[in-house]
Amino acid sequence: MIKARSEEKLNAQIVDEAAEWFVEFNTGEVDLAARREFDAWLRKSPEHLRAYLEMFPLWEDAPFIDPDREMSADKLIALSRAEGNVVPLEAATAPRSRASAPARCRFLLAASVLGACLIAGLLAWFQSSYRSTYATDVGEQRVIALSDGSSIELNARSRLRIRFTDTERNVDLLEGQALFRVAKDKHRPFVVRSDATRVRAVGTQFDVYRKKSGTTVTVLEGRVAVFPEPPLSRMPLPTAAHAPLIPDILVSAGEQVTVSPAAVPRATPANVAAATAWRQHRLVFSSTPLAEVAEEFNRYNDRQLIIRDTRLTTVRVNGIFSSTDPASLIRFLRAQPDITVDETDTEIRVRSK
Amino acid sequence: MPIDDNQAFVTAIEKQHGRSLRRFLASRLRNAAADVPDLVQEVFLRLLRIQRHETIRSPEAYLITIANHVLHQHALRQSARPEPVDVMDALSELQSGAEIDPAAQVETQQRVAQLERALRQLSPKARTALILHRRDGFSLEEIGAQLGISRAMAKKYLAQALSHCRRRIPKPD
Repeated sequence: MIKARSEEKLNAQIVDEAAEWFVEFNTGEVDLAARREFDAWLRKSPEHLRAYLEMFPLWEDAPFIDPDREMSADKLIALSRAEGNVVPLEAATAPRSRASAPARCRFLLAASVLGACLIAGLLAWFQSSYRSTYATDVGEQRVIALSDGSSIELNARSRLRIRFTDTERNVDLLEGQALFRVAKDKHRPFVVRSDATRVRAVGTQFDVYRKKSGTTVTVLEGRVAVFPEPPLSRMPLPTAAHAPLIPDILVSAGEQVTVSPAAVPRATPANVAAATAWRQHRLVFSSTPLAEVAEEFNRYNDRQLIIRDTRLTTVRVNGIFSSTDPASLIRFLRAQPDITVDETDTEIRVRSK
Repeated sequence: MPIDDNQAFVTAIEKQHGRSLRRFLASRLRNAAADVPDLVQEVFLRLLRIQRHETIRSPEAYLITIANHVLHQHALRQSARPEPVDVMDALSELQSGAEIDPAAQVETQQRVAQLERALRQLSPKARTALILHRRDGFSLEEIGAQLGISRAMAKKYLAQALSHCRRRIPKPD
């Protein structure tokens, strides 16, 4: 296929730019302005995108070049320095100690391992309080605009009751999860009640997730006070003057607290993005047992996914699925060699072959 | 706000699985050459559909996530064909980043040989920069110090090496 000269020239330019962007992103942090520029560049045409994607194989293959090191690092360096068009800066001094490179590598490795552990830990911690890593779609989600200017984003399978008075703005989260954007009103605190937990805010943004195991409050903006109330049956003495057994917990932006009977609640740094992932359009599973996948899936779909075979409950699922399109998950399950899927009007039954 | 949150989430995923996602993407890009135009079109359309993209914090992470998502869906479609692609294999590959398929290994060797040939026609500095960085794990600063050039220059050489190789290696079509 012979292309026109000008087109070839254009393509060459795109490839050059793609290579520059690729190196930029793969060798360090990229600042906001540059990221925006890249985003605009990428959207110019599919050719730009293609050129960028085609850098991946080259980059990933490069580590396997000359694996026996017939051309050792030192030889390559010597050869480049002998090229002559640049006067070496350190011509008189001995080449930089080779020992320092591995040392730095080790340090960087340690640092990156530490970083990865932190992220993994954060995600794991998030998963434990959230049961799974997932995001849910907007299909059954709803934004409620309130008379005071506040708004509530309600997740799937959630229920809440709103009671506004002159002195208080009350919301009872009866089931599920919601994100609250509270308009400031010093004289009328905004109070969300979820089981035995009360969350009090003035002007702020926070997410409340009522689970069977407890209530998780994640603060995106501002600060809230969380009041865990012991169940009435376990109230010790009904004296009003009695100091509360569990103190109030102040939770600031970027923090999260889970109130459950199992543990003393404490505000801890939160992965806010993960905690509010439900507002996005995807269910994200990473090595998630099928039983949990079914549980999550069933929050968003009338047709319930039922696992007929206990052996299958531990099958791990990876992938990103649309919660508005259950067909994507069903297709995925059908593609599994040991799984049979039967669909009825009300159920999706999964069993071993 | 939702875009910001989504972004941070994508970034977190990318940070955790970034390397294996990249490898998976790379191996699919070279092994299923015939499907690549489809992939590009689909990823491009999805990119265009993202609203308020100017707030995207990590476009590359986004791109990788979208591309991998498209690949997975593609694998699902493939699996409906007479010769099914084992999605679990694809996923475990994605997880481990390992290439188990011996045919793929041969392909990798062939591609690396092509890459080596292409690099021979390149200036020593650009070639050295790529090999030291990718094979020997040198940072840009280290490459700069070794070659007596600035970090920015080392970066330029890396980009030069990539675009040179991309032009020298014919697309498998």
